[in-house]
Amino acid sequence: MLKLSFRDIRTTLGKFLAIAAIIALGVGLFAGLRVSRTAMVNTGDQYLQDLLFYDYRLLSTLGFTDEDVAAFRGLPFVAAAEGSLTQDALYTAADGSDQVASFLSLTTQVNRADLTAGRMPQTAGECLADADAFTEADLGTTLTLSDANDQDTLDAFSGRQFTIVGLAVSPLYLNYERGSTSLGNGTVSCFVYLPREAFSADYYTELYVRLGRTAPLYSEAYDALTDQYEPQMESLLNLRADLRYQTLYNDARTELDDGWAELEDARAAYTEGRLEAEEALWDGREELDDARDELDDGWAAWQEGWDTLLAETDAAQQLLEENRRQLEDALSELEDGEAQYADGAARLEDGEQQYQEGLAAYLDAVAAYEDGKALYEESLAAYEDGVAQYQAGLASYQAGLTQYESGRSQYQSGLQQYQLGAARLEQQLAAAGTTIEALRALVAENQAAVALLRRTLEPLAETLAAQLPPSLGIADGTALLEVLANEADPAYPLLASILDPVLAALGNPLLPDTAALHQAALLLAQYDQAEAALDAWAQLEDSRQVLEATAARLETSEAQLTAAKEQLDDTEAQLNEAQALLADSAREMEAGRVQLEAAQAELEASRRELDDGWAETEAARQQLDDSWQQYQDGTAALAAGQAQLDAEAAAGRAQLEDSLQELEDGEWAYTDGVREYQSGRQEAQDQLAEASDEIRDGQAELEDGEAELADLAYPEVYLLGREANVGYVCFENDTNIVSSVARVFPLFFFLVAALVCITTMTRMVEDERTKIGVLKALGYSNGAIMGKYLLYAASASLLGCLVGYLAGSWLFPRVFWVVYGIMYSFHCPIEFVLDIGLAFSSIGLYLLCALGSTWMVCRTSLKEVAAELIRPKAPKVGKRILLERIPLLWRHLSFLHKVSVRNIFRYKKRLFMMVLGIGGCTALLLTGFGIRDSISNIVDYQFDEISLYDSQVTFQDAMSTQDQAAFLRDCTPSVERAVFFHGATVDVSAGDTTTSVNLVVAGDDMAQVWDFHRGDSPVAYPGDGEAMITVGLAERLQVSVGDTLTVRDGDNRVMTVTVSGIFDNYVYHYLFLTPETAREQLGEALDVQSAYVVSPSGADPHQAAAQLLDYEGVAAVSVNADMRDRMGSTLSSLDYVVVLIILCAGSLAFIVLYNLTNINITERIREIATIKVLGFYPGETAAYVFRENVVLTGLGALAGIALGRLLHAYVMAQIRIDMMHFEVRVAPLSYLFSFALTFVFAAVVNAVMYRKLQKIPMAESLKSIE
Amino acid sequence: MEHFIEAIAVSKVYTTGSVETRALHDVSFTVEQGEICVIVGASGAGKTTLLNILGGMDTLTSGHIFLDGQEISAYNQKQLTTYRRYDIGFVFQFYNLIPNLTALENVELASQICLDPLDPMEVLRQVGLEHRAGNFPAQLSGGEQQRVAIARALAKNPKLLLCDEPTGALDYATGKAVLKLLQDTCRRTGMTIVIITHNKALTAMADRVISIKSGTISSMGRNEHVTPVEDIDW
Repeated sequence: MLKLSFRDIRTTLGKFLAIAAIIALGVGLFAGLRVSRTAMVNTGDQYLQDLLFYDYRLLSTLGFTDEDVAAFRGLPFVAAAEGSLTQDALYTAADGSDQVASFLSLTTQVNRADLTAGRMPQTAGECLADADAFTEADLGTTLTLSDANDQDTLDAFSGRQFTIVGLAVSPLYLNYERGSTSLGNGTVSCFVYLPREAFSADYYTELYVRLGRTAPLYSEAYDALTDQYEPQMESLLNLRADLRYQTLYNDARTELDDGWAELEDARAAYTEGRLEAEEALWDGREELDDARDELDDGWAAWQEGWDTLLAETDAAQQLLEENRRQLEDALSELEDGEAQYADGAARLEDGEQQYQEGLAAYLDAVAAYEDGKALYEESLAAYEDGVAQYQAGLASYQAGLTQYESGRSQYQSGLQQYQLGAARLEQQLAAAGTTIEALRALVAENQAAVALLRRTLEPLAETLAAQLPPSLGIADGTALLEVLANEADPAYPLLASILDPVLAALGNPLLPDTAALHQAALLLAQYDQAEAALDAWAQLEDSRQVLEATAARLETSEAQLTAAKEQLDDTEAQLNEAQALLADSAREMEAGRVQLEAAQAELEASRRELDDGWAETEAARQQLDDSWQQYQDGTAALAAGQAQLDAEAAAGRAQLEDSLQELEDGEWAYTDGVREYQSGRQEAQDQLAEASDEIRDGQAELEDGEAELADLAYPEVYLLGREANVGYVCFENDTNIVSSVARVFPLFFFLVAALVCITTMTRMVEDERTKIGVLKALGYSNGAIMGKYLLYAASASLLGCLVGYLAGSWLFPRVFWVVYGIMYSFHCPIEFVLDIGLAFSSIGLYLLCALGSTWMVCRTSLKEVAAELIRPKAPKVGKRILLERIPLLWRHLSFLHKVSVRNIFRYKKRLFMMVLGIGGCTALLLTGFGIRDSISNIVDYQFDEISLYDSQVTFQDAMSTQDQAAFLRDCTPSVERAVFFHGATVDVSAGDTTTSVNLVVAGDDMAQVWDFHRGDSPVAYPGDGEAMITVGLAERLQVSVGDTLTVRDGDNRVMTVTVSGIFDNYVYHYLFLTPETAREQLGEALDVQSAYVVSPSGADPHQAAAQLLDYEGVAAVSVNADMRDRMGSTLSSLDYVVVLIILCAGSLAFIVLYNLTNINITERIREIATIKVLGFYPGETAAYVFRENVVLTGLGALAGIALGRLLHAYVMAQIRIDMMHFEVRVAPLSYLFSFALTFVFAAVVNAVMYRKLQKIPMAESLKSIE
Repeated sequence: MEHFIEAIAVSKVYTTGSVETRALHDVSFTVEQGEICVIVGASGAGKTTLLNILGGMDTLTSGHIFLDGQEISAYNQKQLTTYRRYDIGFVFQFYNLIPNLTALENVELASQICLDPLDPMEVLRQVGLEHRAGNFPAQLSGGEQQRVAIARALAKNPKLLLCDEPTGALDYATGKAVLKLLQDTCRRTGMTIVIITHNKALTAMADRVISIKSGTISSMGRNEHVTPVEDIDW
């Protein structure tokens, strides 16, 4: 049985997992959301404990000393107390702009900084930077205080540059907000931790106290704990403040008295110094005048010396100039002589040149003559050889000619013989009536026959001839054949008569008779004749060929002879020509020889002439060289004279310059003296003036000090708790959102999941009815059978619960933690919280659902007897549905649509399931979108349409009417309009409900900065005894216009007012009253100590706020833009929740649709197979099945929208964030989205199922019904 | 003359994993227009496979089948669907009526998708059920249901009527009536009818009998002595 159960699980794994999945989803969402807030708060609690988060924060306008800190530490219930310094200052950011940072001193026992990177600072020049504003890349860089800081700010620090050595998270700044400041743009961009030594102050600005006992975060126990010690803390704080004031006052008094004494001493010293200075100045003046006189004398002596030197130098120079001119004349004479000498030499060189050329020409001519002579002799010899050759050639030519002529005559006679022979043969042939060709043919044709005949006939003829009577004269065969060949022969007839019988007797078939013999003999004779004729013809042909060859040879030799003749003629002509040439040459040679002899004589004469010229030139050279020597000597003498003159003049001048230098030095010394005297005088005067000023300043300072001391205010002190820390409070609000959502959603989900689980189990058992029957028939007990299904259901539920519970508890807190991590700087992972009670309750509930439904169904089935069970349950009778009763509609439906409609209503349970499941999904989607619609715009509404002011200013003291006017006048640039009011937090009660609200007491000019309206209609400002409250407050107190409220202020004074109006407001709860009402009810006017301020349009509200903070008497400025950001980010965390809901709704829709469609298809598998066999196309088949799904999805979605509106309203009522009011509304687009998304999910399921549908085999239709 | 149905060397092999099962092996036969052909064989002989292939619900492994000159064995899935839609009428052993439709609507369901359907009401009248037209299948007896099923098949005006054990789920008398209806329809309209059965007695009413055994044809032939259904006994 157990095995069967497991096999069931395996075979229906899809269904099994679907059940497990939907249960896992339900449990996961339920457990996960429920546990998220606990996990977050627990983690936050642990983290803050680890970082020693404070319980009290003490502030004093005079600061705290180490003694103060020790005093608090001494309290018995205090675990730790530590002083801390905070100083806001501008620093220069990486982009060059000035940003404001809060500089904090590092503390170790309270509010420990959590180091996320780097190390702790060790010296005053190192710091820890905000891990949100800086990155690890900034480690090692320097943070520099900006020059824009005022001196007081810079003085607060011991240095100006801090090296970033680490990044840290501070418990004081849990969320992204860093606070506001009076510096820069009014917003603090980051915090920076410095060691205590980096601050120059000797006191602390804050004192943090941590209690010895602790209680869980945000618990009532914690509030009780802090309340318990508050009175003791407060009294000690006041005591210490008083002590601090006394100490400060006494210290200052002593200091001032010392100052006055010092001032007197300084005055006396001043008078003495002044007398001394005046005396020293008089002495200096006299010394200077003496020096001046001495200098003037020196100048006159120097001028005289200068004039003498100039005159002497000029005379010497003129003498030298004359000598120089004489030398120059001599030089030019010399140069002329040189030129003449050069010309003569050049001419001689030319003559020599010409002579050499002539000589060379002569020698060339002699050589040429010799060459010509040799050539002539060679030519003569060649000519004689040529004549001899010619003679020999002529002789051989004549011999050849004779030979040729004899050959020719022989050829002529041969030709004649041939022609004769040929003519004769042709004559013979013509006579025989034949041609040579015919003969040739005859021979060719009969060659073989003739050969045969010759072999047979000739022996035969011999034989026959021997037998013939000799009378016939025929001696032998040859003769016999001659006779036989000639028919005309007279012997022939006789022969014939003789031979015929012989032949017949022989019986030779070839030659049977004489006629045949005749024929053969004739043939032989003719053949022989033809052969003879052919032989003669062949001889003739041969001789013709010999003749032709001879003729050709003759022609050749004739041509050769002609050529030889021509050559001989040419040679003869050439020889004649050569002879003439030779005679000319002999004549020319004679003439040449005569010319050569004449040239030789000429050359010898010119040689002699040249030798004379060379001797003359040599003499002229000698003369010139002597003159040059004289000139050189003169020049040297002149140069020596000049040098002497120059040296003497220079010496004189140098002497003069030295004395000039001396004089100028004297002048400089004198000028310096004068200057020194003057500066000394000035210095003395300055010093005296300065001393006098100092004395005056000292006096003023002391007087200021006196005034300050007189002003020294008694310190104001504040005792603050954790709720004054923005991050701490925001974290509580934000986690509350999670728990609000967790209250409703999962429950709904839980329900849908349970329903799906029930349906699936029910259907499963019903489907297996036959199997149950068989089991029952086999004798299994009812219990065993039921056990099988219970096991199936239980295992699926348990699996789903476990997976869902663990995954949900793990996943959801983590998702929230990651999302919140964007806004919060918790530097730790979230704790894994397992709520055992939650686990047991959810598992128990699902087991109950699954097992309960299984049990119910099984019980019904098991009641029937086995026989009935085995038989299929009678098919559900098709029924006419209501719609068919309306023929008008019914008839207009197409046939297939009718089928779908009928199917939809056939299975009521499935219809219900489907509508509910899908409706649930749509409802969840709508709620998700609705939450966003309801909250996403409230910030805009609040700050754009309701709170029209830009900031709220709180003053240190009550503002009288004059103060208000002064404020408005002085702050004009940053204030366009201001409305003053009294603000306080009061408790308001109506009936039994009490809640804390913001009280605003002001006149009706408040309507200038607040837009009071409800819906579209304005709400009138309240009159006497009346109050106007916000919608959220009215809802919380359940009051309406006309009801009475009791207002109790901090001093327990009570006012009773009537509600005159309720106005729209989303952030905080307010109650507005007029001052008159308050005065009437309380008997005194309330202090006006706050104002709503509208900044000029276009002004940066933060800058305006910073300017306002500078105004004296302004205690705090809260900027609406900041609040808006804070609210906006809190609400944006809801966006993530919405996304989560949509994802969950999607999975729900998918599982529900999958389950139901799966059941639908499985149940109708036979029907689907049948219509496929009938020839429905795949698309038509799918439409047949899915049309129902689509209609049901539509119905479900419509139902879901109705359901979603209810759910949304309920959820919005549950989401309660302190001091916020949400408008319950759903945007039209959200309806559309929810509807459309549902259909998208349905489409996805249908797409998945379409594949399954395709796989259904048609053979299913042939199967028998199980 | 061309044959109305012609099967040539039809083979079908089912492959399940590595096991090959030969359901049909080299089966060839012909059926003429207007004949009643009974394919008879024991269960597992391959007659259902043959019916599936003839009806375009399954493809064959090798061979060819022609119906009215068209080669069915060459059709793709889409063409096969169209073929089932327009050319084939099915009569199932278990009627396979859509339980949510009345008798008339079940007939209409088929005629809706045809090109040239007969009038549904007229067909119902032909099978003698005009008075039960508005009844749901659950309100009809088995014989009536089978007659509705036949009407549904006839209304499509198919070329071929395929009947899978039409009497399998019916008692003797009802079965006879159903067979009579089939025989009469064939005679009257000249429609070709193929009946698949394991009941050898039905061969008596057939014009042509094909016996199948272990996936091959064991005998085949025309029945020259067609017996009217009334005279058949089993």
